[in-house]
Formats: sequence, structure tokens, C-alpha cells
Amino acid sequence: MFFRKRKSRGGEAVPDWRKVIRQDVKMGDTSVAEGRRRWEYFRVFFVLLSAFTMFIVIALVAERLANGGEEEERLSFARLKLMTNGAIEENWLRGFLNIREARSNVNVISLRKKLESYPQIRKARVVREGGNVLRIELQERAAIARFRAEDGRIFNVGDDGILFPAETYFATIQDTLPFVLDVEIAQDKNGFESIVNADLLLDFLNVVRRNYPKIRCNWESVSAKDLPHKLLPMHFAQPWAVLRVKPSFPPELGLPRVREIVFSAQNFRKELALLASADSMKKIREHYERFPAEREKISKIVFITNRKNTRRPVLEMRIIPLQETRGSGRMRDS
Amino acid sequence: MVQKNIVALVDIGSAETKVLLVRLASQVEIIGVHTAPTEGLSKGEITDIRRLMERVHATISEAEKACELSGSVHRACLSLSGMSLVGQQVKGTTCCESENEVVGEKDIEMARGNAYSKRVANGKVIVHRIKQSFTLDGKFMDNPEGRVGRELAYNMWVMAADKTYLTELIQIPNQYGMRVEEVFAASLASAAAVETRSATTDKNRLVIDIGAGTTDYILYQDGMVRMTGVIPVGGRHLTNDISCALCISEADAETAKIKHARAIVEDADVESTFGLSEEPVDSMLYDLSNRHSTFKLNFVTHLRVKEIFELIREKIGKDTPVGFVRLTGGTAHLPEIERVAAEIFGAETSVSFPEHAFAKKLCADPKFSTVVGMAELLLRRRLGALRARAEQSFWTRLKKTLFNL
Repeated sequence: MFFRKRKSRGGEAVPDWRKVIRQDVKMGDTSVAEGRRRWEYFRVFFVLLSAFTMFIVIALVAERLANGGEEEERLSFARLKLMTNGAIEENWLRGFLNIREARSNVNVISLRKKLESYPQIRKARVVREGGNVLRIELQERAAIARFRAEDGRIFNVGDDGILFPAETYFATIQDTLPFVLDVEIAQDKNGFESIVNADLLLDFLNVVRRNYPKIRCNWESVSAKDLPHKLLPMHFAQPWAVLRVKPSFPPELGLPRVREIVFSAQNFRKELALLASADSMKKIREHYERFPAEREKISKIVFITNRKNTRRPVLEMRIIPLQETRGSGRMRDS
Repeated sequence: MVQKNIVALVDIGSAETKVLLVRLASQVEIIGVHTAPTEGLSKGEITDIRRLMERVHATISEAEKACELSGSVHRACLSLSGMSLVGQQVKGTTCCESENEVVGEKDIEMARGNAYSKRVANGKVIVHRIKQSFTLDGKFMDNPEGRVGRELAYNMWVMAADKTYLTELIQIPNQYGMRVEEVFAASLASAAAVETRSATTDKNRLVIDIGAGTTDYILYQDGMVRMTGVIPVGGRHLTNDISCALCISEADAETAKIKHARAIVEDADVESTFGLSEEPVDSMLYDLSNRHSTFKLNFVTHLRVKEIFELIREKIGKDTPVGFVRLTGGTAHLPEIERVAAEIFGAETSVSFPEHAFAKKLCADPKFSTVVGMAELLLRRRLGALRARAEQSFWTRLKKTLFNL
């Protein structure tokens, strides 16, 4: 009661039958009312069933629309138009999809599914443009490394760790990619083979691909041997959590006997930046000029943090010669 | 699908239950009509509620099925008749408050409020309040606002019914999953069906609905309801009288009433006979020819019809002028009945059928007067409510809603 009810003039009105008699609307026990009750139940059930069916239909339609407007399933086309951000060519695509020009009744959904079944293609969209043009838009995976299988076949490693055949990728770029070693391969939910439990390695390779392509050219392989399969944040700071890169420097750099570059799991971004800086090579050359005897020795490049000034630690690059362990043929730090 | 704008109008008569399914919009559209014999009701009184409920439910169900609306109608209106329904004059009075005794809006409201606060007898509930006229110092008028006078009276005709009877009656559609929207007095509904705007509007007219168990009447004076009433005599009494007088069964008496009876007796009837069976039976000892005297039949019928009209004449007052009498209801089919009424009331009389355009196709019979009138009254109320709602501002409606919380 929000307001006080105004008292009517001349006295309170006597209520009529609506306010005196309370109606209790329910199905009685007469035979006809029983039939009506059953009919009510059936109707409620039917309405619920209809609503559920409609919900399912709407959900299916919405899902189809969300997958790129595939409401138009079958179409005919006169010309193929390929748009991609990668290396796949139209001729290969025609062969892969087994389609010819002026073909009628192309099933758009099956085309898309077939395209997305190829591991190099991350996402595909097949639509009809005006004038009977079939447009195929592809989003491809970028290769960040290579992987050599046990049978000797070579695969490219995509930026998300999925392996895909090397034939359809740029040959010139492919030759500059390092091999990944000591990694575990498994099938993902889509049936693609991929590198598993190697997020840090993939992160490292992606950073190198994006920011330091020139350095990567001189790398032969990257090993995740010293990374545990399940790397936890607490492992990052451990000294044994390292990525080992085997370089193959060209002779003109004057670093013929550098056996490996060791990047820490925690600081590899800074270390890469340090390695890529212009004065790194200068420092290496100065090092060899000062100690010419070490030029002939096998060495490795490591990064250490100089904490003499605790307030301002400095990351330094060191070239450390390696000595052969007596009798074993192994090399160790001198 | 629940049909919200379709209403089942149910007239539970002593002989027949009439169900009319109507669609209400700016006009009434009849979408189905069904009638079936009633059981468990006599002279407007419930004698066996179980049987009555079964029959009424079955009739409504048949009407729904005929219109392919099974289980879709959830609103109902009922007609009310019988001796449980009484009418009484109510007067609300007030003294004019202003200094120069000019009647204002406040005085009218006071008088109306006073009339609305008048109680009815114990065990009765109000069904209708019908405004009649104002009286200012004994002078009748339609609108007293601005007139000068000391005592203002608001005259109203109140129709009340037995609470128990009405509760039982409302229970019938409720038990079928229907909510009762309105209850209409049969006399009021019949009058609404047969009294459209015509030249007789201003006359003192009487509408008599003669059903099987009861006879409802309503008297209009100067375009306003003056009196309503019910007498517990109807067509079934005619049948009973014929059955006793001619020594035939009730069924034969009903047939004789419908096929051969007349409300007046003429000289030719003395020698005339009628037969109920097509094949006469010859006998040496007894007269088994199944022939009956037309004189006896008409005489009995005349007496009973005359009695009905005389009872009504007595109820409305012997000196009350009646300008026009309209007869309706199932028994109004009786030939020459209007002549008897004309003789008793001394007024022009006619047998009336529902006159509304929407009823002419399916319900052009006097027995449907009540249900057709219910449809008409329901439409009037709906339009009135819509008009009142349209006239109210948003704030008025909001205030009203909050008051009613």
C-alpha cells in the first residue's frame, strides 16, 4: 500500500459478487472435465516440445551462420578466386579440392571442411561472390621451425605447434628454419600431429620469427632437451631450464667453432635482444683478438647476469671455451 | 492455443442449456452455438448439481468441438434467473451543501456513494446496480448538476442473488477450467437482445422472457429500468397442465403444445380434435383413436398463459402504464400468445426475436434472446471500459493502480 486510500463520499460501497465470491478455477471430476484436463496436459507437452524444437533449430541455424554464412550450401560457379595470407597456390588448391571451372552444384560446406582438414590451413571460408565467382579465403599457419620425423620426412612446425607438410610452403623461407629437437609429438583433437608440452619453445621460436629473422638464418637446430615437459612458472628461474641452439655461423663472421648458444627460460627475450644488438659481434671479435688462442677452441655462448651492482644487474654475453673430458670425448666448460 | 478474446456465454435454462461462443473485438462475432437438454435444474433452482455440471460441461465441450476450439476457451459468462434473483429499489440521499443550494459534483457523488453503501438482505450478493434517475426535492431529472434544491436522491435498481446459489452456479464453469467474467440477469440480457434503438425507446415498455421453468420480466419507464422480476412459472407448466387435462404423457403433452396448442380459444375449437399418433387404432369398446379435443388443449393453455401475464401485471402494479410489450423466450413461439398479453396489459404486443445483426444468422429464435443479450451487454461493457480507459490520463491510471495495491 503506497498511498492511503481515499475514503469514498457517502459511505463505503457494498461489494458486488466479484469481490464476495472467490473463483477457484480448476478441472473438476466430471468426465468431460477429465478429458479437458488430459487435453491441457497434452497441449502443454506439445507447446514445450515445439519450443524445444524451435530452440534446437535456432541454435543450429545460429551455429551455421556463425561458421561463415553457410546457409547457402550448394552453388555453381564460373571462376575461382583465392585469397590467402600464406603460400598455398591456386593450382595446388584445384588439385587438392578436385574442382574444375564452371562446375555446378559445389557443396560449400564440404569444401570448407576439406580445406580445414589440411594442417597448413588454420581457417577457410568459402563464399559465392556476384557473377558466379567462388571465393576461397584462407588463413594459413606460419612456419617457425622444421621437424625431422623418425622416417626421415621433414615437416614444418606451425606457430601453434602443428606439423604440416613442407611441400606447400615457401621453399626459400623453409631452408632458413631451424630444426626442433627433443620434443614430444602427439595428435590433437582435430587429428593433426603437433608438438605438445612445449609452450616455451614455441614462444621462443615465435619471438625469433617475428623479431630476429636474421639471427635465425644462422641456426641449425633448437633443442628443448633441458626443458621439462610440463614447465611450471617455478621452473623458469632454475638454471637448468635452458634452450640450446646449435648455430652454423658463416665463416665471414669469424665464429667457426661456436658449438651452442644457451638461452635461459626466464630471460630469453633480453638475451635475444642482446645477441642481436650491433655491438655483440664487435665484442666477440674483440674477445678473439685479445685471446687469439681461443679461436681454435670449441666454445659456447652463454648469458650471465652481473650482479656486482645489486641495484642494477647487467646482462652480459660470454664466450666460454669448452674442454674435452678426458677419455669420454665429451666437452665441458674450461 | 488459449483464445483470450473468445468467451463462452452460457445460459443454463430449466429445459435447455444454450452455449454461444463469441469472439469479442469492436463487434461481436458468433463462432458457434450449441444447445442441449438440461438435467438437475428445475424452476431456476439446482436440484442435482452433479448431473447439472455433467450436462453443462458436455454442452460447452460440444460447442468447442463444433468450432474446433477444444480446450481453448477459458472465459465464460453466465445468465442468472430463478427465484434466487430479486430486485429492489435503492435510494441514496444527501442534502445540498452549498450556501445557495446549487447542486454540485460533490453532492452528486455523495448521493451516489450513499446509494452504493446500501446493504442487501443477508445471504444475498449484488449482481447488478442499474442507475435510474435523480430526484431533486421530489422532481425526477437526468442530470441535477447546476439545479437548485435541498434534497438530492440517487435512484438505483439493485439486483441481488442468493450467495449460495450463485457460488454453486459459478462453480460449474470453474470446474471446467473457465473463469466467470460476468453474470447477467436473464431479464436484462433478454431486453438487450430484443430492444435495439427504435421508436419505442421512450415508451413504457415491458419485455417478458418466458422460459421453460421461469418467466423473467423487465419494465422500462422513460428509457430507464423501472423494475425487474422473476416468476416461477413457464412453458413446462403448460406441458404439465396439458398432460393432466388430456391424460397423456409429458412427452406427448410437449408435442401437443408445440404442434397444436394456441393461447386463445375460438368457437371452432369445440368440434375440432387433433391426433398425436399417425396410425389410428379402432376398438369396439373404447375410444383408442388417440384423438384429443383442441378446445381442452387451447383452454388449458390459455388459462396458464393468462395466469402468467396476470401475475406479472400484479407484480408491476395494476395502474402502471405499459406502452409496449415484447415477448421472447422459447414459449413465445406459442401462437396467439401476443393477443392474450395485449388483452391483459392493454398495450401493443409483439413476439420479438434477437434483432442484432450478428445474431440473425445463427440465433434468430426467441429462445436465444438471453445469450444474444449477454453478448450485447458484454460488448457494451467492454467498449465502455475501453472508452473510460482512453479518457483517463496516464497519471490517473497509475494512481488507480497504486491505490488498488
